[in-house]
Amino acid sequence: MIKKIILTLLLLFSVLNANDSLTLKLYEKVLTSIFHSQSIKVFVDSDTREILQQSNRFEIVDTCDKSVVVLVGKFSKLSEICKDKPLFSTDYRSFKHTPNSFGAYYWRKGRPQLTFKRRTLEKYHLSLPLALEKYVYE
Amino acid sequence: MHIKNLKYIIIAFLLSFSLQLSADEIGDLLNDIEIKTDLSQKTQLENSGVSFIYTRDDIDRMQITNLKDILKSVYPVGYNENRFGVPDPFSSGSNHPFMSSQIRLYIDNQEITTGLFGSGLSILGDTNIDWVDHIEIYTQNPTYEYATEATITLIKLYTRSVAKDEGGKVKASTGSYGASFVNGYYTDYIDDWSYFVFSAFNNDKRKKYQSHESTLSRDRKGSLSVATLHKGKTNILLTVSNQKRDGFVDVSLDASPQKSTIDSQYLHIGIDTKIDNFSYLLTYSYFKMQTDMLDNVTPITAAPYYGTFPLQSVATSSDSMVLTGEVKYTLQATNNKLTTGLKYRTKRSTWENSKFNGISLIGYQPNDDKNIQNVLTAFVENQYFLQSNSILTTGIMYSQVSNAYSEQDDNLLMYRLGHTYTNDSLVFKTIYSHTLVPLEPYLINSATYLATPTRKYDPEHYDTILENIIYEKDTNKYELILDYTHIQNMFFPNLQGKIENYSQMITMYGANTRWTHNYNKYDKLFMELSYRKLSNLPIIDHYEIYSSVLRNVNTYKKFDIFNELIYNRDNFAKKDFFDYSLGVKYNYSRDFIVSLKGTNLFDKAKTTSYYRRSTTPPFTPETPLDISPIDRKVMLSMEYIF
Repeated sequence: MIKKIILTLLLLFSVLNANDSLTLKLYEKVLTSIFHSQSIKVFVDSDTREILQQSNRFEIVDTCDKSVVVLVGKFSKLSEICKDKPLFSTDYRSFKHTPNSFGAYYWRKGRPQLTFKRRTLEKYHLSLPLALEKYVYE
Repeated sequence: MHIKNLKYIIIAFLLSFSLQLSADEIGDLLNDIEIKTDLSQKTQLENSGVSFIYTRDDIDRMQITNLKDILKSVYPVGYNENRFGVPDPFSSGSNHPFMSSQIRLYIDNQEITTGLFGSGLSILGDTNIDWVDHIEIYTQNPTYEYATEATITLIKLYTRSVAKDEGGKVKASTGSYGASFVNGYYTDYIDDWSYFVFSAFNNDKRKKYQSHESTLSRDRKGSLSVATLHKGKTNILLTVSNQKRDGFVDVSLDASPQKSTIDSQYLHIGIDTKIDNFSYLLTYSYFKMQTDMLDNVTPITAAPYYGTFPLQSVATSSDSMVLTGEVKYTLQATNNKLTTGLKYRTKRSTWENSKFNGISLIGYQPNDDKNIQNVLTAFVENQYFLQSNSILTTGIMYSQVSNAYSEQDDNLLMYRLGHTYTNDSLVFKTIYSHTLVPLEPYLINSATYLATPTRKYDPEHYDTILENIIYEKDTNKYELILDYTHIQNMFFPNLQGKIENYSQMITMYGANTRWTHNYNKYDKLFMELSYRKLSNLPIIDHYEIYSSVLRNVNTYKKFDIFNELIYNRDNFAKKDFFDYSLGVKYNYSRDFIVSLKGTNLFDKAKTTSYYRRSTTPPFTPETPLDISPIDRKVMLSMEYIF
């Protein structure tokens, strides 16, 4: 009985987060095509953890030094080791004001937006597939 | 090559193929996220009766700019305006300034209310709502969680926020009768806080009507500001409204006032927060209103009128405030969700001026210029999982309403019982509720509005049972709503237009069917048929209403096209009413949009009857004025997002 209730709650939860599943799909498509890997070691904040932990394309690590990419909203509280990693932001301002942030996915003007910085991509020797070139901010 | 290696190569090849991105794939995915990111999925109340949800996408593509755009098709509420041109769905055409107090209006978690009339619908019912992300409307006494006072219908407006709308927008509109509107918002962060600021200036010119020698106007000029501050689970809301209205037919006996104006200023400020399982709320609102009416009639000085009738002039000025505090506690166990809370509200109103035919109604007795009403409410609501797909909802609410200068004190015990059953594609909701509605403060001791102001009025009793069945399959959603209500002691105006407790029990039943069909991810069809009958009514005995809604929303390339036809018929008017609206939105770019919307294009929308009588004895009834609250109009808008 309790299992059933938990299962129902989990199902309800997964239905309620149908939007998040599309966001996850976007992260999978974008990050796997940039890092050319089937499983990416990623350091995340709590908001992003909720989404990414549902995928087997991401291995969530506890410390930045083990990660390939850092995916968080705010960079200000990150350690220096973290800040040296390629940073992908979920916040427009963090992306704009942090030199090591190579890309960002955020909501602005009432719509979801995807953006990349050419210079930072080059710094980390990251190349974008052709399909993502139109989202590059020079 | 070894077969095992070959397998790996094939799998790796397939996986790498799956990672290839086509040029449009990311764009389509971003579009899908935009359409399907519907914040109502996170805010929607579960197991709470019949709901009408308008998502951001609905609001944008239907070009909804104020609440009446949707209330006119919301079953069974509808939209109506009273004799003062004020939004008042439950108005029966009497002289009362507001009869829809049971329709409670919330911005986010905070109720917009006034000390005199209760519901904030009187303030925000026809003002601009371009600051709204999504709208939830719950009918048939949905929950006690939000209700400090008796609630038949709950309207929740959710503000936009930095999470989705970082940046700003400006919008300008103009159209029929010379109406013009300008509004804009901006949302951003200040350190750890996020803010949203919206301001609108409206010059809402409307269709004019002629009654005898007078021109009737419902024009409205003013401004509205809505601002929020958020940090974590703490929300601060500020709402300021300043309106100058033309008062339409007002209290004029022949519905032909020479002059009628209503000026009002409104302020709401509140904070709500959540710490662990506790929620706290503190709000304050202030409402100031001045009314002025002149009519070219001669008051009769002989008995029994002594110069008080008919009304030649009315001038009033009032101040009112509402202070609300509440604490709620939520406990989530394995198969239980229990919410309990204690709420306290005090409403204070003062009449600085109340002159009818130049005779002041205040100063004759101590405290006849003021009223203090205190409401103390406690509630418990529980959702219990009988089985994994069967939820029993029980709720009980006790309200103690006391009036400082009146015998009109009420102890109100309300309760509701609901059951929700779900399987893969079906939802059955059964809800019974018992609701009690006391007199609003403006009616307490009122010789103007009550038939016997010194008598204690019984609260209205509403006992409702409803069944809501929802069936979803593939791209279709079907819904059936059946409801049956007993209403006792209804506050009903008598032939003199003064409120009495109606002695008979009114019965009301209704049936409503809805069908939503999604052609594809952009195009949606909505159809609704409904029937409602009220029996044992005074004067007309029974009232039958037939209505239907047909709505189609399409997107073609850069165009969003919206079509809506609302049909109404009742046994009183015995006429077919059609309200046809057409909207076209041209998305020139993602940041610049031009919209054109026509409302009530056939000029055959449902009308409201406003009575008229001759101004000399025996005050013979004249042909009433049948005027629709929905004007025939066309509006052109331009918006720029930055």
